[in-house]
Amino acid sequence: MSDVAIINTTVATSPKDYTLPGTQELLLKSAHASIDGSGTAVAYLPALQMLAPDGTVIWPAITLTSVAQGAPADCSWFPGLAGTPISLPLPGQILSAYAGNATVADFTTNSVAFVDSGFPTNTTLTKVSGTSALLIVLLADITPGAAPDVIFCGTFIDGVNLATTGVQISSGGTFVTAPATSHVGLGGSTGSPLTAGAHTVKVRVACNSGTNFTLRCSSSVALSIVEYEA
Amino acid sequence: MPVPQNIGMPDQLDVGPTYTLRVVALNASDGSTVAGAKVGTVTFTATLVEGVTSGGQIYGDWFLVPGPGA
Repeated sequence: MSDVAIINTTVATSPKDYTLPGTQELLLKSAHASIDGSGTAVAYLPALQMLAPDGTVIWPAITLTSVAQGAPADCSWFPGLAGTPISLPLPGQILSAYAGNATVADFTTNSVAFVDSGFPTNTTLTKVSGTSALLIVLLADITPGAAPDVIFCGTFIDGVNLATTGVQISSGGTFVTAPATSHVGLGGSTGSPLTAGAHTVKVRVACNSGTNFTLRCSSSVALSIVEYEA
Repeated sequence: MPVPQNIGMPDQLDVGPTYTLRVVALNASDGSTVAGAKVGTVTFTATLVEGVTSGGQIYGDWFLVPGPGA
């Protein structure tokens, strides 16, 4: 038996495979790899895997700690070191939470089509996982201008209205609260999970009458989005 | 500076013909393959049980370099 080094210096998109030729058999002693994570949008775990000829992963050897998104890693694999399995989130486990920040001023419009209210000011929602669902809760205080009317509030993510409500107005000038709640990404009518990474969140409003109404987004609009494992 | 990582792997690992060794970046949340990661130089050190060792052998982008005990 003889010792060898098997080397590939080509930079390739992960994963990078070495498939043994049909005449080769070896006892693996160690492995080393450099990973460029500058293009990653999430934290990652460098891993060495052995795959059967049909592509089935027989075992993964995974780092003990994750590498931050965008960071490089210099990885060495040896026998005799402790390893750990990936800790997958449990169904229902909360992965991240988002709360919308209020605007400086209230928003007044008479638009009959959805328009941006300016709320929230922090428009980026960063989803940790590509398999998780979102629970969206929107509570919006409104001062209507006409009656009868119907005022609509929607939580738009990447331009899609994912949590909406329509409030019937029976008398002008009164105070109303528009609630909207939705699960996103559980399948069926809730749709598919949104991808991991950054998404744009906006609260948009509209009315039926074309009369001015005011969204009290400086003080009395609350938007929370909870990401949980589906 | 790259983050150094020392990771455990199985001992006395006999890898047979047509099996694959893979270096991959996995999503820390769900275990899926992370987009945007690139893998640079990879080096495996091994004892060759079967196969040619004399001179450098090329398998695609992989180069087999005989060691001191070859």
